[in-house]
Amino acid sequence: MLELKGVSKKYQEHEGEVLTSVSLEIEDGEFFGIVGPSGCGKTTLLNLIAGFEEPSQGTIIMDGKPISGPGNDRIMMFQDSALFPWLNVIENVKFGLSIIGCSKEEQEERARQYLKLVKLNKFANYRVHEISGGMKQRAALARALAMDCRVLLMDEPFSALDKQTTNILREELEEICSATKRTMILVTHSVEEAVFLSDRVAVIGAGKRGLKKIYSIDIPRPRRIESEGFLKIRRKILDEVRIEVEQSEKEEFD
Amino acid sequence: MKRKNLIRKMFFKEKLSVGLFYVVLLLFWQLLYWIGTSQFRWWKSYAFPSPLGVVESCVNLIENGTLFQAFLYSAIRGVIGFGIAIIIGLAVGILLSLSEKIHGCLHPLLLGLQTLPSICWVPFAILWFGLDESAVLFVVVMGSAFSIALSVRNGIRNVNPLWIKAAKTMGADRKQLYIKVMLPASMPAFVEGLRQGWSFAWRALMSGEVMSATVGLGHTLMMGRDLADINQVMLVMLVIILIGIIIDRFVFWRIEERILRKRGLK
Repeated sequence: MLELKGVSKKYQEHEGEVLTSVSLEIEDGEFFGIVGPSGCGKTTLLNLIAGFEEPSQGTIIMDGKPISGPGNDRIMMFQDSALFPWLNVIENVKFGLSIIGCSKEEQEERARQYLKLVKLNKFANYRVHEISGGMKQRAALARALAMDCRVLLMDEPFSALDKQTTNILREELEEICSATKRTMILVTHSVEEAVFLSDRVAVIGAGKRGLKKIYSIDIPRPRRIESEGFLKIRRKILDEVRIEVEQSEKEEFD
Repeated sequence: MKRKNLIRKMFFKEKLSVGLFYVVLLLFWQLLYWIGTSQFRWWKSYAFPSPLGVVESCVNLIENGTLFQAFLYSAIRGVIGFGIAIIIGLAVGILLSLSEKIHGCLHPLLLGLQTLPSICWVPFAILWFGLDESAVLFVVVMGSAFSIALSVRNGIRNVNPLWIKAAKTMGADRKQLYIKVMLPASMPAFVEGLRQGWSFAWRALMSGEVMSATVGLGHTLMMGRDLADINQVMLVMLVIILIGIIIDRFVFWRIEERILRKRGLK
């Protein structure tokens, strides 16, 4: 279980907080979505959980132990796949496995297994620049999942892709999630995406710069974005986000 | 297919015109020599080289084995000296990348040493080592190691921060970060640095050989001066240019090309 207790972040002493007193608990195996207007600190929140940054106040506790620095129990996925161009697809997946000291045979076996899961087995020996943007994100997903991480942190993983690819990847991600049962935390600007994938969606405010509200999404899976229940909850969250966007615009003009 | 043929034809045509230019240049040179020496007596014939004279000198030096021996000695010295320079350059470069403080202190010094023309190391080297092999090697190493070091450091510093973040989130420690990410990621910059370093090393090697008394191309060049044989001087100069170009094109350029292509950068 991942617990955030009164987490705040401030970069400079004299400046305001980027994030104010966020407290929440994320259960094991939960898919947790985070939305909010741009600049509300949602990526900062992810960086804090990943351990790239330290909170100015409060603590982040994972399985009873406070987080100190990055670690491979929490793996982050980025907007850009961040695959290494000097390695081919399967070597990229093996990279993380070699970091945790798997044997060569185990690396090969696990890399193959997860490449199959993300449907990239045929492209194992392709170079990174030879595959499409969607395939790159799938390879990055395989790289993260292969390491058996407890929590997968995703920072707008689909935002650099086209609409078609995004839709396909979302569905695949949902299948993979239910197959692998990892805790997922997704930061996205798309409310639709958050509602489609998440068990709970948190709205981060621009005004208070903290947690505004958490919505439970009790729609059975696989979800359909045209269904009434889906549209209703999506509408509700969008309205909430809109208030925050207007608030942040007002702040900028004042 | 037709298009390919057309491109090949155009390429061939371009090569042909370049070739033609050099043929004309050589003819003009020979003509200038002939007019200047035997028609107007502007120059003494031993003071002005000619293409035919260079060819004759080339045949002579190949026949008596001087050219090959000189080339072999220079090549061995070049490989050893440059090899040492790579090792030192790599070590110093990695050291510089470890902390901004180290880099801040050493950067002006290295920049200064790199600015110093390598021939200026020759007197120093002779005082330290005497007129022998190690003096020449010393000049080669001093002439090229620091340029390699600076490019290694810049390559490591300019690694895409996202790759570093990705490696860190997978739990890579500092050592793994260097060996598995920073060094491979900075390979293109490293090879470019080697290429530049090689051109420094080759110049330094020739400076060293000209000044010292060991067998090698630089020494053969000086022998030409002692014999007042300007054609031999010219020939050795051409050979030095040619070797420099060949190694740049066929070794470093090829490696660079391969790495860039592999990463989809070309």
